[in-house]
Amino acid sequence: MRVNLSGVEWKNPVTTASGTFGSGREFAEFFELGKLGAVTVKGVSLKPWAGNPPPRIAETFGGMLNSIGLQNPGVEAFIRDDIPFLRGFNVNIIVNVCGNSIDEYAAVIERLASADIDMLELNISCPNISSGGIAFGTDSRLTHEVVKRCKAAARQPLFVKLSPNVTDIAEIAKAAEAGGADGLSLINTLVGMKIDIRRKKPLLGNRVGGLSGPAIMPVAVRAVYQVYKAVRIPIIGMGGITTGSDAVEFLMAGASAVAVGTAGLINPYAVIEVIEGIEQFMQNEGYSNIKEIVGCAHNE
Amino acid sequence: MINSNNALILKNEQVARDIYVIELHIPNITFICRAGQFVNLYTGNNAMLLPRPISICRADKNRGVIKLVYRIAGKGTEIISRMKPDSLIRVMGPLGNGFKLEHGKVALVGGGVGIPPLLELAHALRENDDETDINVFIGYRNNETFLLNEFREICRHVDIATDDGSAGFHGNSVDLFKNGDTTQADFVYACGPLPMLKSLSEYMRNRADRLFLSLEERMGCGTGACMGCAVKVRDGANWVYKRVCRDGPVFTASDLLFDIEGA
Ligand SMILES: Cc1cc2nc3c(=O)[nH]c(=O)nc-3n(C[C@H](O)[C@H](O)[C@H](O)COP(=O)(O)OP(=O)(O)OC[C@H]3O[C@@H](n4cnc5c(N)ncnc54)[C@H](O)[C@@H]3O)c2cc1C
Ligand SMILES: Cc1cc2nc3c(=O)[nH]c(=O)nc-3n(C[C@H](O)[C@H](O)[C@H](O)COP(=O)(O)O)c2cc1C
Repeated sequence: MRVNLSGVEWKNPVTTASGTFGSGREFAEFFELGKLGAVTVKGVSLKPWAGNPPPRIAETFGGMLNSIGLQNPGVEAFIRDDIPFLRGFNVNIIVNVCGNSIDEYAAVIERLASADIDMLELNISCPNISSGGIAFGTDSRLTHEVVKRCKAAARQPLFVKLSPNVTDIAEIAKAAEAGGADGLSLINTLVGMKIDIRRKKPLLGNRVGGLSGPAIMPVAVRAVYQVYKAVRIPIIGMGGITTGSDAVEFLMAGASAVAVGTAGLINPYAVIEVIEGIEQFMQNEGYSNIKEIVGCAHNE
Repeated sequence: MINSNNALILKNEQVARDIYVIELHIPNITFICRAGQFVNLYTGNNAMLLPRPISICRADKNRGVIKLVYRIAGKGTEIISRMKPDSLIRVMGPLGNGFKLEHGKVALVGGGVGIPPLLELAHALRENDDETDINVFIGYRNNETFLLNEFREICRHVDIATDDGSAGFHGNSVDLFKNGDTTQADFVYACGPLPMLKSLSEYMRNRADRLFLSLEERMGCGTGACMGCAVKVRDGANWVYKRVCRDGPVFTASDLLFDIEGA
């Protein structure tokens, strides 16, 4: 089950999707965090961010919309409170970084240079903030620019998280690779809306939100398949993964590892069930190494 | 310790129009839960992923059974209402912080499906101190009341209101409370729709530090991880968003800003 992503050893190819796992505290009540390949924490910004007005959650068919708006206490509080907690477990730490400007992204990454963490994930794909975020991830020139700046500041491998809300995700992926990304995470949520028909207006306080959960999985698998063909750097695949077989689809499409998000909000053991499900699949099908599965759907 | 597992449904019955009582055999939650905490119920339908948070109405620690009272508010609670005794439902809990148990003269003010958690609270207050003077002011839509006898068994004073005047006081639970609270209660606990909680907070603005409100908000996980259920809470001269599920659902009224839309 071991995988190596940009020089970092994972005991299995499964992590948590940023923003759905906090910094792991809530989940540590359910299982030993050391069972995971890595913990990806919620988005961290330079200064504390208040987040968006409620309601922030809406249920949709087979999925959910969220408009949290990256509420977080800022990088200083993260370093002080969360890293020591997570270091109590034998697990890789991936820090998801958000910002409103290239300078802000770079400042967070500089601050994390001396922190005891294993990988960085640059979130240029959040649909829930008014400036920055997704604006970078939907323009290949800006993607290249922000990745280049951040890579120069980074002391840990830098993964770049891509948005599916683009015409050609492969083009953005190539721009991130050219900017120096060590790997890619995909996908972030799809921009969506729900109308409250009794109040005759959008249900979410922020009007729009990000769609996640099983409903988006085919879109995510397609994105991974497409990007795998376009770049040489490793991919962490995510979007709707609930079971081991779901995860195997992503691996076959070309992901070297996967992340479980929404499913874990609903069933805290989902991420463990995904790890066990992959293991079971490998046993049943006679695989001994994840590498044999990664991208195999391309050898038709 | 939060548990997430299947519970056996012992009973699931309608007690008033759109109002159901469900009893679940789930010892690991029953033994550790406190008044004011809630559980997440899951419909088991993959199209409806999110939990339905429901307050604990009564915990029978001897039998390991919790009782919940819920209103059919949409498709999820409708599915739950059709679940049969002897079948299983996935439950997570106990979630949130309970009510802080005070002494002296206390008032419990509840409206609609805000009434159920006040029953477990009444028991907890009574068990904590049998001198506590518990006064209950609860409002229903009409004369199809529920839980009334259970309150009368343990509380000295139980007043009811109905929106249509078909039983008790004609009006809502807050007006009922204003009329009845002639010698002011030392502490007031309330649960119900947001406009009700807001009007009660306005009425009690001079003693808002003695008013404890149990809030509702749309939730993602219920455990605090997703930051979905935000409520504005005072933070010095400023404010921050706190989580209803993990930091609440009970808040002291003096800490709340109430500039929430729809309130
Ligand atoms: C802490 C807490 C305790 C609660 N206790 C009770 C109780 O004891 N009895 C009771 O009848 N109701 C209670 N509620 C409200 C109850 O959770 C909702 O009525 C229920 O989730 C509606 O689900 P639905 O599928 O029928 O409605 P739908 O409108 O179809 O639900 C769609 C989505 O919105 C959410 N939602 C809708 N209304 C609410 C609401 N008012 N609060 C939170 N989420 C909502 C649902 O959970 C679901 O995710 C409580 C809510 C909270 C937050
Ligand atoms: C409540 C919530 C919060 C999220 N917060 C973040 C975040 O802070 N940073 C980020 O890059 N992605 C965030 N995401 C996106 C997820 O990490 C993931 O990319 C997406 O939800 C798809 O995976 P899933 O369907 O398994 O949830 C969030 C998603 C949800 C549901």
